[in-house]
Amino acid sequence: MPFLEIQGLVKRYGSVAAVDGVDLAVERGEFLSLLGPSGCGKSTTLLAIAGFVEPSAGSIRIDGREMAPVKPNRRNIGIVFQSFALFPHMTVAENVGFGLEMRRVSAAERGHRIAEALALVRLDELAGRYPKQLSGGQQQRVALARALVIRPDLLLLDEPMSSLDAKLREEMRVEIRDIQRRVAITTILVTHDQAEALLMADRVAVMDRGRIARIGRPYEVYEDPGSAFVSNFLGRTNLIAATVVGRSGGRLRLRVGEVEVDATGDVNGSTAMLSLRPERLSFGSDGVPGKVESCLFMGGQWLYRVATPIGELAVIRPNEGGAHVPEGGTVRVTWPPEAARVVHE
Amino acid sequence: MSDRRILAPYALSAPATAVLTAFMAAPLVMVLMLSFNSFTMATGIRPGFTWANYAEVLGDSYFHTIFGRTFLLAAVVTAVSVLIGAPEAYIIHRMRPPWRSIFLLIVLGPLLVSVIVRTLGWAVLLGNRGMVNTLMMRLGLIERPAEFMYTFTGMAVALVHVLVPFMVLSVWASLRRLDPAVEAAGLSLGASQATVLRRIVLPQAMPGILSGSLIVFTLAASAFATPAIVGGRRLKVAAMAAYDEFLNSQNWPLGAAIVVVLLIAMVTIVLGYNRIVERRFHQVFQ
Ligand SMILES: Nc1ncnc2c1ncn2[C@@H]1O[C@H](COP(=O)(O)OP(=O)(O)OP(=O)(O)O)[C@@H](O)[C@H]1O
Ligand SMILES: [Mg+2]
Repeated sequence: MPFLEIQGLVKRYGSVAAVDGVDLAVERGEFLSLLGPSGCGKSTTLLAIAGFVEPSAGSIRIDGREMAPVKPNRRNIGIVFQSFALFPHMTVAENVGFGLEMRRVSAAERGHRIAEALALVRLDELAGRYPKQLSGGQQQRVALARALVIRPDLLLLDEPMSSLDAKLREEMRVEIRDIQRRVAITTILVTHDQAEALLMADRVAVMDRGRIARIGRPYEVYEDPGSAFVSNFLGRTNLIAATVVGRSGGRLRLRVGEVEVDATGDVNGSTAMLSLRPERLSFGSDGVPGKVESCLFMGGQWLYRVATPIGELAVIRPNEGGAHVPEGGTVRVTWPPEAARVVHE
Repeated sequence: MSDRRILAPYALSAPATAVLTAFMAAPLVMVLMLSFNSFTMATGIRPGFTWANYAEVLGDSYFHTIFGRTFLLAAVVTAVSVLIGAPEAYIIHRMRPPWRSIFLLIVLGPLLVSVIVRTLGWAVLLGNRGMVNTLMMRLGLIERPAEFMYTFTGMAVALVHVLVPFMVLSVWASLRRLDPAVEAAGLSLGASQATVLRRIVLPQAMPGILSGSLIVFTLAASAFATPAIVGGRRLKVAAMAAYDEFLNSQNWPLGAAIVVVLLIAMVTIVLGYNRIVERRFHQVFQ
């Protein structure tokens, strides 16, 4: 039985459905990322799990127990809010200790566990500071320590890293991931950053307009996104409208203009959307002919835009120190057969 | 260039300084000078320098009673305003958008009506032959009219009504800066709604409560119209005493001394209070 089980969750605000039928099962100790564009209902889903949003329909069960009658302060869920929501009038230690105090943990035991939690997020020296006296990253770690110290059954993180700078965010991702592994706590991370979701989670759920569009292991979802929306949202992709000209054994023969290509996947009907990941494309001696329109240097890679008979293609090649194809150069774009995938619109 | 930079703030604040000097500082200095003049019924005001007026204000038990009553009234009004205004502000803060502005308007509405009109309203409503007393007597609930006019309680109630909007506004302003997620965080950590109110909301509303108290206290201590109408001649407060010396006894120097003593007492209280508040909350709230 899954640890957290959500069935048919709906939340309506007036006539708008912020969450429109979410089914989700999360195993004990699992790290799940809830990913999606702004306004797709991620926060609403999270708040419903925590009990701050009352579902219009559907059920939420934690460890087999129906959550509807359980008040937010009885759910034993640790939350890190997007805004951190630290108590500004309490020191770091008091912030972290608040949940323990509410659980009537003795002062001695409390001091011990506060120190332990602060050590976990590497903030031991700042216990006496007030939140205003901390940097964004430090505040975030206080919020994390405060949520972890109560040993919650479930940890919910709502875009906890969105206000950090790029460098700090990268460090925090690894740090949170490590901590989560160490304390083996069931975790849901809400984010609209696909790199973050792929990097941190055991499984990724991509949401679109109040529903879960695709769920699975990061690699699976990335490689087999299923729909145009997911493939575009998870990383970048070249989407090409094509007509189906033949089928054989799970592969389709597609025609785009004058060119015919094979692709994995299946569709009903005679048109299909072809997805080609830019990093799976390369330049070779055969393949689709094209002309390099632009060539951008991104540090670790080159990003090309190539005009071809099947449309403009983005191509990403690793920077291996050698010469790159200059703008205006003619190339042939090729890809391994499994890189061509058919997705739904 | 750099000279101009330095001068700019002075130039920009010059008009305000001029207005303040003309209408605040100058009259105050004149009142201060006046308070050292002497006065007798026979001779009227005599220029000169004497501490006699201060000796009278500070030494006479008649004035002790008046000042005692003034500050007790201000303290009671402030305390009651906190008890009514702070919860009121929190309730308004928790309301949904259309209701929030409607109720805020209702709270602030009385400020649009002159203090005199509002206080006379109290008199009509609660006087010995006022509507409430008449009704209660007709119904046989009471035999004699309940005293409200010309009582300390009456003054306090009427002043609270006049001043509580300032408290609501002040507390509401500080609650507006409260992140709603902070309350949710408190709940998620296992606190009850009451504990969240006491341990998380109240401390953060404290700056608003404290500054609101300051406003209400100073306005109550220097109030004139409401105590004059509801309290009447029998229950004088400092502002009325000064008024009487100026206009009834024509003893301007003594009136001026009362004003100066009231001013110094209030400035001392305000500064002392501010000092305590700043020391207590400096680290948390900038
Ligand atoms: N209290 C509310 N009243 C009305 N509509 C709401 C309310 N809360 C959320 N919504 C709407 O529900 C939808 C989903 O909101 P939600 O906050 O869950 O989005 P999100 O996926 O978390 O977005 P973001 O990435 O921007 O945080 C949005 O269209 C939003 O406008
Ligand atoms: Mg959100």
